[in-house]
Amino acid sequence: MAKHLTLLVMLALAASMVLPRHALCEAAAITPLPVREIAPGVYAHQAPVTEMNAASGGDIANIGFIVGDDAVAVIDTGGALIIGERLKKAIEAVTSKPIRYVINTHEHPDHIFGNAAFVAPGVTFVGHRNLPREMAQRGPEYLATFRRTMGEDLIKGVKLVPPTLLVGTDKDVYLDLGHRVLDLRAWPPMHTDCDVTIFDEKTATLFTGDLVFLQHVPVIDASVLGWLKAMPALAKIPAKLAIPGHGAIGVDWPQALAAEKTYFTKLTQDLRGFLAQGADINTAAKKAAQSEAGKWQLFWVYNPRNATAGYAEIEWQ
Amino acid sequence: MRGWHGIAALAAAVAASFLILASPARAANATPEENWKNLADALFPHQTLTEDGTIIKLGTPLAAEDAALVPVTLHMNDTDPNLPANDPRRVKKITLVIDENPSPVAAVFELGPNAGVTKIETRVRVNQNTKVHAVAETVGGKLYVSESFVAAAGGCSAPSGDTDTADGPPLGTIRVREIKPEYVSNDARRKEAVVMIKHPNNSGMQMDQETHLYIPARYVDSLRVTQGDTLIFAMTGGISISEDPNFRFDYISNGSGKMDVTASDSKGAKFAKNAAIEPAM
Repeated sequence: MAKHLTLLVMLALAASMVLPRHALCEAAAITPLPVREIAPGVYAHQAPVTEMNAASGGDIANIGFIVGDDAVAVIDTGGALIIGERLKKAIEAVTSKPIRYVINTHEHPDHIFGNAAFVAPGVTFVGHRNLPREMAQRGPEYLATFRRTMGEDLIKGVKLVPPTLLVGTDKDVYLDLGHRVLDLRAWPPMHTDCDVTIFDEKTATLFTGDLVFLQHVPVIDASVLGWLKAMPALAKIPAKLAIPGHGAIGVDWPQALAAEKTYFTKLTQDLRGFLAQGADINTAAKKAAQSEAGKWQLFWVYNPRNATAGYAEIEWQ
Repeated sequence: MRGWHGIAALAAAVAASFLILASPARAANATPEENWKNLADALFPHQTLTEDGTIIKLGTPLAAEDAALVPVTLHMNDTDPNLPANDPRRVKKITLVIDENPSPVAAVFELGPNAGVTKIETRVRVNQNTKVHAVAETVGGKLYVSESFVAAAGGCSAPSGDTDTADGPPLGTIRVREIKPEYVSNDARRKEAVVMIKHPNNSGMQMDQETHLYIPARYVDSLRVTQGDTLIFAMTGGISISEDPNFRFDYISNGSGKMDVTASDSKGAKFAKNAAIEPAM
């Protein structure tokens, strides 16, 4: 570490001699994102459980990277360009190996808005087969929405960078980082229509993306029934530790699934009950899964939406 | 025959309003108030719109939980649910307008003269913060308006889920869901039901990534719900109705044990369902 610091200081001094002053100031403003080594070579940043706005600055999703003998894979890039840039600084502080892959676990802005920080020759963006479509369809609206809620400064450098290496639900994709193979799996509609998990075989560590929520109430953007249905297959991934998309990182697997499974079960049970009783969608949205309220943060922000979409889904059963 | 003529006229009126309104009629810098004035002038020229919550009342959430699925409820003649067919106060037609949507006229409902419908709940897409208006026309030819505001973003371009196309029932499947009488009202003749149509109701604003072309709009443009030969309601609709169009309504049972639902979409496909229902006591 001391060696790295010395190197950084020397580089900074060298830069100050050759770079114009404003460039140096911009470079100096970027501080490395705090990361924790969950397992040897597996690093993750635990973001606060909060919403995308100016105050959070786009730092609301857990993101990270895995270092192999030859190269680095980045897993999600944060909710603003600056978060991606700060993650890049964190990587540079740990290794000088090149970044070869940037994997997006799904389409949501808090996971992909930092992508532009990593666009460079030799870097391949990786995601679910549906991710390019979802980015194209929703991307412009995401930019417009978060320009309003986060402010122009945080959004101006954000570019939607779609993946070119795609993962289909029929077959896992394996990425070799040099004596380290990552198993990428694409899932049917669960949290979104384009969820991917990343399993580091070497340390049995799993990046779940938003297929796992802890503390932060789960957000259902595709299918609560699909999520419940796929959960046994997800639990079978032979991981020891998991890094969820939101909440505590480095948690025991598959125990990390228990809390959200209870929530989904309660939500669907309540919705079925309301439908059988003839309750309308508004009533269901207000009342479903209330017994879960005290267990989750941001419950009142997302539970009514989950219940609304879940009602419409279960109504067809 | 009169019914069919009515529907044809309705369809023509809506088609005309789409021609006017689907094009970029909205002035870019118009205030919400100016926008509604322009819409009202185009849809209801030279007519006065009066606010009266006992004739028409619109219910919307303040903020959309899901912009692609915003529940909207229309309450008609709520205080006089059993008005006879020829009573001048009886609502016979409602136009639902989502002012800031690309195609503001979401739906036009025609109510059966003897069906006693006092409530229709449906789900709409809302593209951005918008005023919503319901304009009711009574048998007496007067127009009444109810206004609300919904905060939302992006509902028109939100892609529809893969789930439905993969696992769900095929496009055009119609279901009728009866609400149990104990949850409806004390009036034994009054019943409540939900008509559901499996249909993507493509808005035409969703892009196909392979081709970079927008998926052409394909939506349920007409719906007719009857008990026997008696009309409960008919709807002419557009792209603002959510995927899997859903209509929950009350009505006075005429004793028929059947509910007939017919629908068609903008590609000319026809869908039908003859559902057995529990007749009222």
